[in-house]
Order: sequence, then structure tokens, then C-alpha cells
Amino acid sequence: MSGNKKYYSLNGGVSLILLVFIILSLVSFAALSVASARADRRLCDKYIEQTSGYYGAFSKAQVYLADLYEGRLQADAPEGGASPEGFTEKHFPISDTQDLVLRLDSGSPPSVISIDTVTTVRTDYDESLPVIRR
Amino acid sequence: MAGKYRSKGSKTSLFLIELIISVFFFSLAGVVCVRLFLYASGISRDASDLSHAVRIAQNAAESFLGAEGAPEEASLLFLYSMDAPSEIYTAYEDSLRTGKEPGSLLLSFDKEWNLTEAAADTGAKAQGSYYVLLDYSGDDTERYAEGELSMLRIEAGRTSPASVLYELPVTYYTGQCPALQAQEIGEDTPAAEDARK
Repeated sequence: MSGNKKYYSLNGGVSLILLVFIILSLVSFAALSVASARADRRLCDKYIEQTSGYYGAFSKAQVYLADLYEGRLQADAPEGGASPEGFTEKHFPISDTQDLVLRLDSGSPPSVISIDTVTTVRTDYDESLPVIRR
Repeated sequence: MAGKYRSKGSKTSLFLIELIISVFFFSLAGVVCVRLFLYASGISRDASDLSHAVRIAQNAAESFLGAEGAPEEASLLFLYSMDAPSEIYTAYEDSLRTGKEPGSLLLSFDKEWNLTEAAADTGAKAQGSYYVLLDYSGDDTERYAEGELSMLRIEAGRTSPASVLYELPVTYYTGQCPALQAQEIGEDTPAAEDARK
């Protein structure tokens, strides 16, 4: 009877293998969470940069307008002479790639036509991959 | 018989030694991983706080521009945009009567950035975990013949430990500009019409 009894036991090394897997997964998750948190922080820094840049440029544009309307300043002549439409554009940098553009007409005092955000660098998209066939 | 027991005993002690080594390395790795998780959690919390602070500051700045630089209107518009409960609205209007600075607003937020309190006096102390201050008493406010350069300084921070998370100064010229005035009532100036064409 006693010869039929089976005894199960852990062989040597199994716990070490388990440990290696557990530690590997723990370290992987920890590294992933750090990478994710850092990415969030970088995105947040860009958001701050963009917001501060925009309102900084807007405030400069307001000071420029105040000086212009109070007669302390003359509207800048457009670069390369007057445009065919007779507009003057005044650029206030937001970031390396964006400007706030204040568009004024040629009246006296000049009227504001628009306040826009424009991209100052040319973006060349990679269209070498034929993903969409025309 | 004795050899059999010795062999069983050495197997058990080998397993125990292995287990002790495993526990030692597991605790070492555990400490490192917990530190990494805490570090990530700290960065994530900072990023989240900053993000909330910038979003609310941007909201306040747009309210200020929408109110054309009028402090009290800007503060009320900001409270409205924050979905402030009516009791906070009323409390702010009441405190405006006794406030020292015209329209200055101090908002308190809880841990989840929910608005809990609003006060008009900038000398008051924020109650919650975070605060946002709208300060219109800028020294650089410049008066012109036609209007003035209205200044707003928005400050968002933690109450304890006291630290400033984000600061945003905004300027608005309150003088009337013909083209902007025309746009407000839905008309275009001749120059704007030409530009559109």
C-alpha cells in the first residue's frame, strides 16, 4: 500500500527561475512607468512653452497696438515695400516655429484686420511610402 | 539507513539555502522597483499638477481677454467658466464689496483640482491643496489717453508646501480699435472685406 503513495516536491532551481521571471517583470513595469511619466512631463513642458509663448506674444502685440493708437508709434512699413493689398504685417514670435501675426490696413490710424498664429517653418512630409495610391 | 536520512536532510537544507537567496534577491529587487515606481509617481503627479495649473491659467487669461481687460467682469466670467457653484459666486460677489484690490480673485482647490472656495482679497490664505490667484494690481499698468494697458498676473500653486507651479502675465489694451469694434457687432471693415476677397 505504502509503495503506491507519490510524493511531489520542488526540484532545486525552480524557485530561482520563478524569481528571475518575477524580477524581470517588476523591472519592466517599473521602467515602463518611468518612461510614461517622463513622456507626460515632456508633453507638459511643451504645453507650458506654447501657452507662455502665445500670451507673451499677444501681450507684446497689445503694447504695440496701444503705442500705435496713442500716436507714439508709426506702423512699420511692410517688408519689400507695400503689398498689393496695402497691408502691414507685424510678427511677434511665439516659438521657434510659430509667430503671432498682427495684420493692419493702411488707414490712419491703421485698423486691425486679423491676429493669427502662423507656422514659420516649412514642414516637408515624408511621402515616399505609397500608403495611399492616387 | 543513516545515509538515506543524510541525503534527505542535505536536500532540504539546499532548498532552504536557495529560498533564502531568492528572498534576499527578491527584497533587493523589490526595493529598487518600489523606488522606481515612487519616482515615476512623483514625476506623474508634478506633470498632472502643472497641466491643471496651465489649463486653469489659460482659462483665466481667455476670460480676461473676453472681458476686454475689465477685472471684475473677467473674474466673474472665469468663475462662470469654471462651473463654480452658486454659493461660491455669491460669496465672491459679497467679498468684492470688502476686497482691497479691484476684482482680484483667490481660488482654492482640493486635491482633485475641484473648486472649493473663492475670495476677493488677495491677502486671504488659500484653504485647499492648490490655489489660483488672479492679480490685477500690476505695477506696469500704463494709462493712455484713449485707454489703458490692463495687466493680469495669474499664479497657480500648491498651498503646502507653498510653491508656485505656474505664472502667466497677460496684457490687454482697453482702448477702442475701429476694426475690432466693427467685428464685435458682426460687421466687416472695408479692409477686412478686401482681405477676405
